[in-house]
Amino acid sequence: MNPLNEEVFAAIMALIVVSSAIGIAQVLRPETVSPFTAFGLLNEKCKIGDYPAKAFYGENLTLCLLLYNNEGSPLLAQIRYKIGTNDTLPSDTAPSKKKPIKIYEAMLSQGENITIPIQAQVTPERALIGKRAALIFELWIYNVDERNWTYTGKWVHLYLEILEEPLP
Amino acid sequence: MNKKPVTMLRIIHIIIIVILHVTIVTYSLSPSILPAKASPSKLQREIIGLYIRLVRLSEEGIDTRELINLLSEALELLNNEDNASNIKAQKIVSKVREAVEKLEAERPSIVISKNLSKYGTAAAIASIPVLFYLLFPRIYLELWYKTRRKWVVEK
Repeated sequence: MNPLNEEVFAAIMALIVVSSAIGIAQVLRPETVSPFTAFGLLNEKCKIGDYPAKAFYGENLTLCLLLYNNEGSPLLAQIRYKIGTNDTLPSDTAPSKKKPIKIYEAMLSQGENITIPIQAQVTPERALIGKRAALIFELWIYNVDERNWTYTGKWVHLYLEILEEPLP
Repeated sequence: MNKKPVTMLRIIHIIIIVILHVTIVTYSLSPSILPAKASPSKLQREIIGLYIRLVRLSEEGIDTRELINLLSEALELLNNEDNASNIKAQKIVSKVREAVEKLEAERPSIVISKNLSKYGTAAAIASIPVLFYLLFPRIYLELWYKTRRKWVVEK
């Protein structure tokens, strides 16, 4: 095979041109093509699954929160912990109307993830004792352009049956 | 007969003035009355301010990972809500502030060198097909002749 043969040379040239184009695209492409933030709730061992189904009123539940930043820039996030019911869950556009019990803050670089172990105090309204309550965790991020905390539309919740606190 | 309403009016005026004074004095003194609450929130505001500056720097391709990690550490310390952690957080924030100021001062040169290396690499890759097209036949022929230099033509 003679590489200087017109057809062979054209084939080699085509291969080199395509490889070069792919190489240039790799160098010039933005670091993050589709930005997103991942947010999840993990159990006390910081693993998925085996979540508690019942809790005593006032108990401190050990859970973990997972956050991953792929927004293309650093991220300052707040996770707002609330307790509500099926009727007061957040939506994709609006947060829950319930007041936050605790706010967890985290700052992450692009491509970084963090697992935050938390002690979620189960203190819903006393009327929910013996009923099902939802532990709600909403993700808010600091909007650099508007200079305020913005609800991302991302949340996780865990339904729990609330038991009367045991006698001391 | 008219004296009584006039004195009442004066008393009301005095009460209003006293209330206004108390409100103004309380409001102006409130930060010094509550130093423990005021200082972490001030520090938190400073962390947010530094975060905004770091986001702007990272948007220009400047590596801010180390400083973001430091600020994250300061945030964690603030969550502890004790005096020792606050002092540690304050120290970290001061360190980050200095580093951010330095980065902002060096920003133009960092951006230029980043862009030069990025577009330089792209240009180098783009020149490969052209160089191959121009040089490959010559190099190939050169090698072809060199490897066959000692060949003898037989009749």
